Amino acid sequence: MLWVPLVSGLAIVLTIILSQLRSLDQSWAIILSTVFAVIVLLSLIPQVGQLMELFHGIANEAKVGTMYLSPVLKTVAVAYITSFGSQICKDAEEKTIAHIVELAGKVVICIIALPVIQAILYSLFGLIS
Amino acid sequence: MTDLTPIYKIAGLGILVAVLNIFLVQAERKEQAQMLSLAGVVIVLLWLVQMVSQLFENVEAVFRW
Repeated sequence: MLWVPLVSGLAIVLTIILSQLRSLDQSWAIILSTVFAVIVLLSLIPQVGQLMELFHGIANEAKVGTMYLSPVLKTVAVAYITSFGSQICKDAEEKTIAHIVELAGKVVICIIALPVIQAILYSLFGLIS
Repeated sequence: MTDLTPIYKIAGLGILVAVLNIFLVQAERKEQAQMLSLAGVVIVLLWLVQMVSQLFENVEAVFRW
């Protein structure tokens, strides 16, 4: 938890530097903000892993099958990566690329959710017939 | 703990490229200056791509169940 003030302070310093750098050299500004995002997310990943272990333990205790838990976790991961990419593209004022990245994420999430939807529909059909 | 080495590395390279850029512009070599800044951006981009791939691998490892 010690690194939260560090990240916050670094963010303030980088914001001040970037406000100058954006008009001076756009590409370096994008690189700097991306590097900051990557470093913070990399240091955040172990904590997210602990959270996921907790979730897994709770699901095991509640006897929720992996079939239902796995799509949720996969969706969270896809959303995480997609929002990272699209936010950086938006930051560089490339709205089209950001939208395309988001669209790709949506399509992948739909594909991940497909087995669950299929199971619901099949159980519905079984109920009708 | 956060590892801040990449930020220092990139800041150092950025300052170096900026100073050399000023020299080259003063010496009336605009083409070379442009090439130098492009080379700096490409080098940093290579580091960045490695870091991003590491991040994605970590995310994949965490959310795999």
